[in-house]
Amino acid sequence: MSRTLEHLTVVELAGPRTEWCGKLFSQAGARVVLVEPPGGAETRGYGPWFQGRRDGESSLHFWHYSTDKESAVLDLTAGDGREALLRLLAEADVLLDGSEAGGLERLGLTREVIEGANDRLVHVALTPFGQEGPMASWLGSDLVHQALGGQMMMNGYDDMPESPPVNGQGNQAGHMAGSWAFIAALAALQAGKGSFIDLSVHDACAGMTENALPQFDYTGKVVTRRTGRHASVAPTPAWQHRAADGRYINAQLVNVSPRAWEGLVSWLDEHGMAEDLTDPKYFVPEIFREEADHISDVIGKFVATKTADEIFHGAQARALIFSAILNPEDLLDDPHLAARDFWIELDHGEPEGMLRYAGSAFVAQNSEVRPRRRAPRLDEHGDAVRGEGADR
Amino acid sequence: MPGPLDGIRVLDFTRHLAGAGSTRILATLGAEILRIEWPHPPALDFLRLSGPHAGGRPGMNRGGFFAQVNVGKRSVAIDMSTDAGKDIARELIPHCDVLAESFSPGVMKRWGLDYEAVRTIRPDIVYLSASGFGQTGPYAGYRSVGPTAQAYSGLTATSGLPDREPAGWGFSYMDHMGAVMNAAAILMGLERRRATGEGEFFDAGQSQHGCALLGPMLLDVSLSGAQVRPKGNRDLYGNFCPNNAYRCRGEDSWLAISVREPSEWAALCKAIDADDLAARPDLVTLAGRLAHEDEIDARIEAWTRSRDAREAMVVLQDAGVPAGVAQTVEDKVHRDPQLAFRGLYTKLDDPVLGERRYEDIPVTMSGFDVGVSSPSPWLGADTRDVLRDLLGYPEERLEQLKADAIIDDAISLEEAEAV
Repeated sequence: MSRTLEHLTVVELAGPRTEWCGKLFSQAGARVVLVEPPGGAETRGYGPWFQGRRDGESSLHFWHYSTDKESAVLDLTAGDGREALLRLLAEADVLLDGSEAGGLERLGLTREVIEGANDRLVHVALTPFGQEGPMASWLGSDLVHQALGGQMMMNGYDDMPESPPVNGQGNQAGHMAGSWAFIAALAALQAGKGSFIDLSVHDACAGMTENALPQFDYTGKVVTRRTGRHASVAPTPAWQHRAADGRYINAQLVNVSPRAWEGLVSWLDEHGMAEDLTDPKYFVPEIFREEADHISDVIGKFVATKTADEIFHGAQARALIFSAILNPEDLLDDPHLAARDFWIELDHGEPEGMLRYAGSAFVAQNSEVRPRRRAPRLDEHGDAVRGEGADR
Repeated sequence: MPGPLDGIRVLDFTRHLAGAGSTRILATLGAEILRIEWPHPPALDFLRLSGPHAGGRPGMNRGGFFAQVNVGKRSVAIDMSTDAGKDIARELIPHCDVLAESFSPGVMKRWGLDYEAVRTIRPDIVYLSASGFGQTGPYAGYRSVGPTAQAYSGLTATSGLPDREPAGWGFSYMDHMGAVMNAAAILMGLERRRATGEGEFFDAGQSQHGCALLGPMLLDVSLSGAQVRPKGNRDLYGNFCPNNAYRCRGEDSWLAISVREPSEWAALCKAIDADDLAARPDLVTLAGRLAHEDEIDARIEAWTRSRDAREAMVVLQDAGVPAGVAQTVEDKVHRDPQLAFRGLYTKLDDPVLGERRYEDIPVTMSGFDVGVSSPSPWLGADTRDVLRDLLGYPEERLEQLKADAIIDDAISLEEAEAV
């Protein structure tokens, strides 16, 4: 089957800010040339590691984000490295540039020089805070961006005094920004002309905090963090409960339909645990809201008698939007992901062999968005890439 | 200047943030979005009824969160439970490049508007079905909102303090990322159409997108059998150290600091007057610092505790250390000079909602005009214009359809306030 973006060529200057956007292109079949500095991309030094091997060819982080890419080492501080890059850019559709604000200019690769090589190029510059402004030279990280962006202050514990705000793990600031880079690049391509896209990771994160801004703008109130649930301006009932097997359940009662409520109550009743929830008064929205803590308590007691899986599937069968809070390792045997062909095996050759990766979540009908090839070893495609266009 | 998606028209049946957020993104890039909606289920977007409300009074056109998610769109009110309503939607398809929907699996098929039906009308349509768990698989019928997807995918379990219950994410992260991924799918379809002339169908599951955002962790557990458990704000894989939130002066005030490079470590030690730490050769490397993380964290917090978080951030950033205050929304709106410089919060005026702030997009694009530019539509605000301009319906037919409750409109302030 053809791959969705197989007609595109992308040049990615390797780095933590560009890796996710580059992967979104490469898993859709675009040719992505990863330009690495001598010594290799910084992210080749990121854990987790393959069997604890901490060399430049064993980063599972790099492996995941670099599937299907080609690697070529170019020394952009040297003239021939810059010339090779410009030759590549002449034939490319997109440049993913994660250098700091002004970084390429200082190497002589000004926007004029790059546009001179290809005036139809979409040049996406991902910087921590944007190209200009009072904080343009500041440094970021996943944690720093989730702090400044507002994610952290919305996440943590309200039943544990003095506890800190908590970030979300897994490079999520990089995902928020990198996904936007992908969107902006594809949008520019639709117009068929080149563009310089100035993307700020800080803006990307700051613009993704759901209802916090409307709450503040309309009420003047600031949402604060609540254990295991949404930050809010006023206290809310608990919706995270511990199941009999020690795992937790996310048991939200938001937009509960009458059918779902009846299903829940009769389920509790079957086990003699409905208490007074069988009372039809709970169909009155005001009473439902007023008694929310009591309802949460009754559900919590029931959850404590079942496994997380029993609650998850039993609740969903009754049209309740509950889920078990799964650990990453739980997903390996999940029947749904298996049925949707989520996992992929990629061949690393000797000695690593076939390795099982999280695949793409994009399921297309007429083309394919799916990694096919392991990440490149450092400079694996260097000779071919450096030779390209040299005879022109 | 036009936006890059100028000329792209979307027939939009999406709801909530994960769905409607995706067409918001397309709208900010210049696409024309025709929201098909109705004041009753199934074509009602419950977000229209969600708070906060202008003046504290509920109403279809008074919801602040709905307004945030639906800036720059047009609203066409059609009763999709009627045959005549479905016929109108079908007539709109040839005029649209994209169809996006986020109903439970099966609704569009019941309406005769699933991909197979729509492609017979418009073969090159880019069609997105966005749902919680996708259109296929044993959990296809499961319901999901952001926290459900976060719980299922492992995002919730990996966020929290050690030996405590999960912290969760504190908001619907996967509604945002669902919206972003759904927009990305539509754009991939448009890009492929540009190259091949062919249409495409995407079956997007919000929960599966959550799993894809934990790729390195999943590779790790599949290879090593490792268990991933939360470590608070420390980096799960030790790629940064120190990497934590440190208490500052005042109530609930915190500064995040991340260090990776030896130069950053040296700069940090100098800034916090820790010459003794700087002098220790074992702390120059990341591995060495990880072995003494408690000690390092204590030293940093001893410095931050008596300091104003914002002042400490400036000291550290000026010294070359990645540092950022844990900001509230109020901080972002009133105390963040970079967001102000970039214009992240765009103010728009609406006669019902008043002048409000809207989150703008994180990009500028040379040669294009992009971003938030007009408020969200009143329910049915554009029904008449769209059916007249695209389908050539004469006035008398519009009147009859309205009298028959097949369509509705809201073109005056009184009508907008009445629902």
